[in-house]
Amino acid sequence: MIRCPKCNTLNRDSSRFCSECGAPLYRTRIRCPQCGTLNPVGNIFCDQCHTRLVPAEETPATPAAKLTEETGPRVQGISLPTRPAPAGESGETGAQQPMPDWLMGFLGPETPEPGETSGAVPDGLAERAEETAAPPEEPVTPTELPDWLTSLAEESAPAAVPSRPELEPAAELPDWLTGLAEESAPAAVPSRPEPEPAAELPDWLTGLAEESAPAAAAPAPEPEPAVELPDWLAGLVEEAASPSPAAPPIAAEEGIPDWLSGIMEEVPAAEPILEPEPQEPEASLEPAALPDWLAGVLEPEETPAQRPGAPAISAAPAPDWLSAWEEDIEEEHPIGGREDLSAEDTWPEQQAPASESARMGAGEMAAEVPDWLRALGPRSGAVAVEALPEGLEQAELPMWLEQLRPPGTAPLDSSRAPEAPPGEEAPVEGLTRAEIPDWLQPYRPTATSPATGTSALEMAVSAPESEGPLSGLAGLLPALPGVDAPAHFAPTMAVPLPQTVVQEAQLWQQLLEGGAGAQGRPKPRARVTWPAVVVRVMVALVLVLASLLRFSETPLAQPPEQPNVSALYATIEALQPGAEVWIAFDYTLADVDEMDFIVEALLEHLLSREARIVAVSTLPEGPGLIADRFAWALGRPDVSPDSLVSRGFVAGGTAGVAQILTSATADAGPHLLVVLTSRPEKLKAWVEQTAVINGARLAEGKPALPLVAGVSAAAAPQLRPYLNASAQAGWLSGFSGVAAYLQARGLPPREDISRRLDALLVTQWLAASLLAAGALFYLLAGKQKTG
Amino acid sequence: MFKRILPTAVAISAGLLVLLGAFIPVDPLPQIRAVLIDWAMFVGAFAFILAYLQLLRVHLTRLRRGGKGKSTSLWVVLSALVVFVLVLWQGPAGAVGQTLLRGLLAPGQSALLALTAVTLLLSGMRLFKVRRNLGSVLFLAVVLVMLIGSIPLAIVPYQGAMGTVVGVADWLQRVPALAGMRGLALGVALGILLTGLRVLFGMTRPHSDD
Amino acid sequence: MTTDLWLRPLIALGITLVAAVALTVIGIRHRQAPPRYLRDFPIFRSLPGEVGRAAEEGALIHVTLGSGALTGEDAMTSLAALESLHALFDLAAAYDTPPLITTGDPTLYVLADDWMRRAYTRLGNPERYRPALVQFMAATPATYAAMAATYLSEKGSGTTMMLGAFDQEVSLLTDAVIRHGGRAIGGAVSPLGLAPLFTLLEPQQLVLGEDLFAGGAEATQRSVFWASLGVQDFLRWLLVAGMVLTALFSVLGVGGP
Repeated sequence: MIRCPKCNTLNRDSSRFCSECGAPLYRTRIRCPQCGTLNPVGNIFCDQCHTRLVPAEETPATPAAKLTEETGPRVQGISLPTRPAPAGESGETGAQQPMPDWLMGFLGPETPEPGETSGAVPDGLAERAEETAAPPEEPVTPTELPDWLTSLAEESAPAAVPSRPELEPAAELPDWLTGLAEESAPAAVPSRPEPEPAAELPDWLTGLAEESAPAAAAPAPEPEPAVELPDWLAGLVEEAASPSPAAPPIAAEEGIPDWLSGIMEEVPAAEPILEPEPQEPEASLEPAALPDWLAGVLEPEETPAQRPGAPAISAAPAPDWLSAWEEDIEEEHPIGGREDLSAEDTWPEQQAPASESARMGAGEMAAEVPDWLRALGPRSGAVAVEALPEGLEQAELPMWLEQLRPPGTAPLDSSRAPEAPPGEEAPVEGLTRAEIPDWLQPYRPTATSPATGTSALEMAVSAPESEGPLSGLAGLLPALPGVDAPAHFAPTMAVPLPQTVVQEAQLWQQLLEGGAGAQGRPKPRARVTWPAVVVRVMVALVLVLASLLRFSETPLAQPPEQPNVSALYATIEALQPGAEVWIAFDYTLADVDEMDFIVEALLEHLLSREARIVAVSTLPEGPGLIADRFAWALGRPDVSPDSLVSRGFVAGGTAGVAQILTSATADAGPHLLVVLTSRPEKLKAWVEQTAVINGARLAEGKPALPLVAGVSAAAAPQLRPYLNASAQAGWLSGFSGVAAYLQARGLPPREDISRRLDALLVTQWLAASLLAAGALFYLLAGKQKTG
Repeated sequence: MFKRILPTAVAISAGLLVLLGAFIPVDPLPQIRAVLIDWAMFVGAFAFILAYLQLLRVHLTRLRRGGKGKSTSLWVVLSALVVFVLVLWQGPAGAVGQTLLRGLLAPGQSALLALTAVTLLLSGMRLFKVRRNLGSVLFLAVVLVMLIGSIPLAIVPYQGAMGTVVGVADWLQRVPALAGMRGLALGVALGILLTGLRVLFGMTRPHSDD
Repeated sequence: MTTDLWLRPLIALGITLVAAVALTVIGIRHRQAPPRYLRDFPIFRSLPGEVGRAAEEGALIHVTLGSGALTGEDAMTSLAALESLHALFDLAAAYDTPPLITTGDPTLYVLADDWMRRAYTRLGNPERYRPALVQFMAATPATYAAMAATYLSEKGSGTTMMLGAFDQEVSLLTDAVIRHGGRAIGGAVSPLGLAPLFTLLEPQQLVLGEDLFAGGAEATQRSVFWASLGVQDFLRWLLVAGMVLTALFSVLGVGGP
């Protein structure tokens, strides 16, 4: 039922408007079309049968999805968004997807890609980017972005993207990043425009390219002067630098960091940097020349044959700045279980696109990701992920992330990464300690968190970063362990509940299970006080005594004249000997005492007229009453057992009455019908059915069946009209009627009847007195407060 | 859908057949009506068995759980089982049945009904505590007149005040009380008619979820 | 007399047909527009409040349905009482404050049990239904009233609802309510049952006679119930007009004795 907010009327559940005042009703429940269960309005699926209640198109898009559709994904800080394209749109990936805002900022003010919005970068970063970034000869438009960057944009998922502060676009990309963009330019998407020629590379990078790719088919980009890296990036370079035997000390000579030099060595000499790579979905990587920090990410032993459809990557821990991508992924897409593992939570080439085209696109994207970047991606772990779509791989988590793995998940191979003793940062080979910029200093924590024994969130919140450019920062949410969790991953509650909350919940549960019923229900305070008890006892005592005591030898009561009694007498008196008389015993056990007198008076008269009695009842207790009265009758002299016949109980109420009369009047029929009852509806049924039968009998020329009645004094007032109209052959009621009947027969009054009449008279007078006294008392005492 | 349609169809068809059999005494309608009513009686008797079993279950549960009313439940269960067995063995007109009827049931029922006289009197005395209006005054006045005038005192002359009271009581009983009761009965009859029609036409389905 | 043989059933059939047609027409009319109030029945409006109060106090709601058998003359009276309490069943099941329903007839017990069980099923909690919520107490009216009064005194009750086919035995229940406190509402169609209820209950707590049949409309707000009440009023006016005309003709001597 729905309550109207206007007039408080209860309305049917399906009502849309109030039936009383017409006000619109707000549906508080939705009825399931399948099983009819009433569900709350907010439900999308039925709680009972899980049928969809709300059509799919009505399902409101999540805020993140709306955000993506309207404004594109937002990014925060320097994290890279990893949202893939929406499923339906991912057939043509790449350039059609909105670029991350932070990246758009680096690319400059020209951002022709649709759906893009500018992000916001911290002021310091923006300023430094502006200061240090050399304007490229030609601004790199979004359409000219290398594949690796574009693919990162394609990973942005439209769903569940929380709003992020906008990043102000940097004036231009720093050269090092621009160079990276120009280096890795595989033609992953056919719609992607041609990449910029190599002339766009900065000088320092160009030089590297020339050295490492002497047979470059494309014209090498004009080397640009070495770019002075910003402090924060310089710090990153120092930290991330890992000694690579294969990496020439270019950084020492020309200012290029080792890690970058390692990248340069990976670039195939025969390929221009900015030319799209051939479409090889199963291209494998050559991890041999990778720096250590990159080598750890890859799995040299993995080949395309082992993981069909997915490129092999070496085992190496992901760099911090790339790990931050994972953090962002987890922040936006909390993993809830195996089925929640969505494409946006994995690396680009490991995503499971919703559609086949997207799946193919992802494979293509994976093929076009540069090798060195692909090497940075998470590798498939030792534990196979069940039900992962083709192309998805398990990423190898860094040690600090592995410590956050929830219990029950397969342990990661921790041998690949050095364990950092608690409280100390793990030394990373080849990396020099970064200089934390001033603006980042306040975020640096003072201690690291323990590795085990705490929940993932606690560790995340309490443990500061120990590696990478974000070292010392606390409160960063790590990638949830469930990102690469095995199939039997069982997520635990991210936020531990306080004990008080748990106890309270348990108490509620007990209350609900125990029911709100008998145990807790307080018994209403009894409103009976001792005066009320006294009055009650006194009233009962007075009535009982008045009934029992004899106040006079001569009868006190004088029954009034009753013409109906005289008529009854006359009717019975007119019966011929041997006449068949049907008697209906339709009174209840509660009226036995009163009705016994009536029955005895009538039976005595009928038997004195030598009538043949046939007894029947429409009440279940009727046969017992019949047997009892017949037993009394048989105790009288000159009563033959043949003159007393019992037809027992006939079910059906009114229908049973009709059945009795139909069978009784089948032949000649009875000469008289006597109805003995204390229930008005019984007599009504007999009167009505007798009228029907009489109509038929009269139509056949037979005499009508006369009906007489003996009713209790309680039922008489209600039956008077029926009796006066139908029972014209006479009737009697109560003790007074019996007394009058005996008087009409000329019999002396029976003492037992006289005593009862006297008792009745006295109690009636006393009751009237008590009634008047009580009325007067409460009239003067005041009205009761009703509640 | 089948669960909704079938009971409704059975109810409507049975009701129509019984109704037509009552109004139109043309064969075979009255016979069909008699058969359907017999079937209804069977169902009613089975309902009696169900109710009896439920009564036993409630009291057995109370016995098992303990607490207040345990002894009452014990007597109820014992008497229900014993009487059932004995009457089943001898029949309702047998000696045991008759003894129980006259010795236990009838006095108990009479006593309970007698109690209603006390409770009615007490509630009448409290009438002005609950409501104070002209209706209550009229109600009490009529009750007093009826109590006094229904059985006149033989020692008091019939004429005069007593005669007046008796006459008024008689008039009250024959005219306003009867008229009110008849009006009440007519209204109730209309309500019964319409309720029955609603069930007959399937507008309300007490046998299903509507 | 032959005419009488056919006249009475013919009149009865005619009234039934008129009522059926009127019920259909008025029912269709009420489906299209919200029905207007015919009368005000505060007792039925108070049912949700009683459930809420019982939920607040943790008290019991005791519903006594009387002894009207579904196979007897009181079948429709008992059904009307159940329809009046329809909303109460749903609310009580929703609030998990189920009422204790007692009956004095087995067939009425079966129906009440079914309705209460359906109320829980509609809410999606069929497992919370307990069979002890509906009880058949005794086969005779006086014994039933006494048993219900005893139960009331044992368990205590926040609200006692006495709706159905009652006679004078309801005075045992009203006395128990007076003795043990708690609120009460009631209604009966028999004058014998109305007398004790009249002395206990205030006007807004009492329904008299055919007003009991309006409970379904108030409780469910369904157009078919409103249509039923409308047809009742229509037929009542017809009867009144017929009686007045008949009396007038009798006085004027038209139509013979």
